[in-house]
Amino acid sequence: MKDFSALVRKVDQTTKTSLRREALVQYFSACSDSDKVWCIALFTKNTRKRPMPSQRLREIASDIVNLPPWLIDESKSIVGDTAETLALLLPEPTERSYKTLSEWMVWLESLKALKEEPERQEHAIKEAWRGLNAEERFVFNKLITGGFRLGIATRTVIKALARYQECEESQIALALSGQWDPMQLTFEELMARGQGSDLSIPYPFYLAYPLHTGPKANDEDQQKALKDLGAIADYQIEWKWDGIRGQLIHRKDKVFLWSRGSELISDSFPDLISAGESFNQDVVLDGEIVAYMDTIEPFEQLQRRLGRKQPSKNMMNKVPVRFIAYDILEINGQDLRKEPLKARRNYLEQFINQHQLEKVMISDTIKVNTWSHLVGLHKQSRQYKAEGFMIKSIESTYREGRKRGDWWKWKVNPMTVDAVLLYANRGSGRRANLYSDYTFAVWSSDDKKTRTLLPFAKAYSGLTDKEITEVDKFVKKNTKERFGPVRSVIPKLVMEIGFEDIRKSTRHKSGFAVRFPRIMRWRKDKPLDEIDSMNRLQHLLDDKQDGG
Amino acid sequence: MHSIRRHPLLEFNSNGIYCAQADVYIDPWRKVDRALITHAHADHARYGMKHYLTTSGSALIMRERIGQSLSIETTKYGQKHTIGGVTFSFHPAGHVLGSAMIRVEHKGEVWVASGDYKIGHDSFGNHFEPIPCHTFITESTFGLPVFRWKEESEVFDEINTWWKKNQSMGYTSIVYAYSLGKAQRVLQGIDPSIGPVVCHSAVQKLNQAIYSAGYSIHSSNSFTEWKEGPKDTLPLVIAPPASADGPWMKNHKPYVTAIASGWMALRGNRRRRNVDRGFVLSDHADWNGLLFAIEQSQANQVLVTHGYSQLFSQYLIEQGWYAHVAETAFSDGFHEVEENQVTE
Ligand SMILES: [Zn+2]
Ligand SMILES: [Zn+2]
Repeated sequence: MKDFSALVRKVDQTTKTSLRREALVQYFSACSDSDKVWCIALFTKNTRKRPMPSQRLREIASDIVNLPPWLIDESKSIVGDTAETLALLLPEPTERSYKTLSEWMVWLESLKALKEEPERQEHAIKEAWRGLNAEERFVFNKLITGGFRLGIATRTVIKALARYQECEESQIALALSGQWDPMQLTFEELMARGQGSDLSIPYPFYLAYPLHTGPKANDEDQQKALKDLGAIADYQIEWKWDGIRGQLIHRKDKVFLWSRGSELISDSFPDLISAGESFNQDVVLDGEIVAYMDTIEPFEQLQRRLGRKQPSKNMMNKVPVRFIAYDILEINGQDLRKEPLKARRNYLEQFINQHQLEKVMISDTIKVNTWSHLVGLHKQSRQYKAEGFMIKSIESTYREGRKRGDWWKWKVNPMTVDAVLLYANRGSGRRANLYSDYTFAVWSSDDKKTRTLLPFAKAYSGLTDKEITEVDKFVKKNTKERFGPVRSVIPKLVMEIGFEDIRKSTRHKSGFAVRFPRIMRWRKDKPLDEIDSMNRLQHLLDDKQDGG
Repeated sequence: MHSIRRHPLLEFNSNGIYCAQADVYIDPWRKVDRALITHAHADHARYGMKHYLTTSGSALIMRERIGQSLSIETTKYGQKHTIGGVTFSFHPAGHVLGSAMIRVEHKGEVWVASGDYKIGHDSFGNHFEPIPCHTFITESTFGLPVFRWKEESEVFDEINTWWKKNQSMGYTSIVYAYSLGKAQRVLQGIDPSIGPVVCHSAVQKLNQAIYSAGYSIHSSNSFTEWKEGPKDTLPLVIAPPASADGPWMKNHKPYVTAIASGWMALRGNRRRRNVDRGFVLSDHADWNGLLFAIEQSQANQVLVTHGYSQLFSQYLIEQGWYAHVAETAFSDGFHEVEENQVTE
């Protein structure tokens, strides 16, 4: 653990990617193979199941540090993280533990197994703490509370491994993609996945870069941004569907379905798996999983299928799904990613035509001759049940991750509302010391005599760090009441809130639920009196249902 | 029992900490006639008072920063001043050069306004002397148990090691430290044999004033001196946090950056400021330091200001102290930010 926590410290103590990579290479060169596997898993894989809720961990610590539990909780809300708070509070070690990272990971599994025996769990944790210094305690606590993210990009890990293994980065990226279990795999086996040892393995997704037309772009601004891309004839344009991105893989008669988050979702979509089983060729398709009745259904429908394993017949009939293929990445064992998009499109069309499956469609390309036509069509996105366009250079290869240059997504302008800040909450992690999470309200009606403020959305992203500091100052000076980490403030600060979608909701006080709300800009020019009311939300909903 | 007075010996009003009996203020934030100043940090020593009374150390800095023409009466630690029958004296607070806790005595009742303080001795020579009193007004900038400082020498070892490592990799080391107090402490604490120390003009100006007044302080170079001199070893640059990202930094490329501040105890703070390193070096008392000072004061009433006052006073009450929050002109939240950006 000593070496691993030293690595965590090193990557944490620099903002330079090159130094972080260097530290990783050094660690890989010195540590055991099993520690390597765990290190890679911790830095690149999504949150694993946490062995213990952080509240429970704070309770156990409260006993040792001789502080009232409320003070530990308050400290946590200011620090922003239980693991760090407790690492700071706990006393110096009284003994020395020499367990390695992988030994601790096995230990954690045994801790999970003690779920029914809280006293033994507590005893085990206290014993572990006694043997770890502050730096190691932090890492150890992080392992227990889950969410081991220390701001290191998967890209950096891939680069470091490629350097260490003296091989191509793409091979490492492949080895780390898809699902693998650090409990089951040796380092050698993990690396072998990069050379095709695992039939299920998906390719890293290539993601489009957002096309920026400005927050309040008019037709001209939009046309200008598009013209900067060059000739429209050099692009393949498709609708951007509102589902989840996935890879449908058929290799040696086995079929797998992956989501963009490298999650195997075959179990949730047996209908798509059986469609894949009828392919008579090995293939890897990249596309969008959508709910589909006579046409594409809203995302909320698809949500009923997500995360539900082995759905019932009834559910599959109620919410049928389809796979709309955007791209083809492999055919008959041949990697097509280095081919230009125009060639891949030919392969894809051929493949789809040959198979004629109801459940696996092709994403139609949009044929318009000028960018200005496209601007016109963009306005109708919602009528077509789309979120906007994907604009891809026909010469583009299929790259990895989100890259600038040849794939663009141009989403419809989100719906917007002018609202006032009502509550503020301390942020977490990087923004632990700042009030950076906000709840916004609009007027209940347009009647100035009777109207009240109704909270309708929580939003945090969209402000610059400088603006967040400014809002934080405002919150601290304009606090009305405090409830734990939350403060209610004098309603003065007006922001334009944008969101992707709106629907009726009985669970929300306002009667509406909005999707992906975010702050578009700070309306310093707008007084509280003139912010929007519920009528505006109703209007947005009606508008959407008209498709206009 | 003390004689009955209409006012408490010290009270918090909209101008500052007021002593009605003597008609003077301690660290006022609005313009008043007579101001007693605990120390020269901008949130305690403000412009615009008719007359000031403070230690000669603080006066030196205030003249440098606010103006040479200020009307300041200076005092020595322990010297007594009687105003309106109230006796005032200044005692070492260990915070920065000249910093004092102000002892206020009237008819046997003693109050101490601590301003900002730090326990122990530091590299610059500041030290703290506990004063027994009936009412202790304490700061609580770091009044949370997560704040626990290491020995100062350990932190300087870290800085020295970091500086040497940066040198070996070809980087200049830039440390952001508040120009009054922290900057001089860093200058005094690091190992000058590693290389030259270069100070931003805001720091260098103060260093020179402090040196000319006869305090012992290591020598440092201004940017110009450094530019013209030999450059065989990579320097340590000390600059105020507000100067970060300024055009002066171009001359020092390639560089790595660090902040020396108590706030660096929290990862989130360091990451938000986007520096490479955070050195946990504070001019305020940590959690245990605050509790120690309160213990030593033997006070039967504790007033908490300046920081996590609500949480800290709640804890004191649970521990059996008679404590409450003294409201200042700003909510405690404001001080959190101000300390973070200004005095730490
Ligand atoms: Zn101060
Ligand atoms: Zn202060």
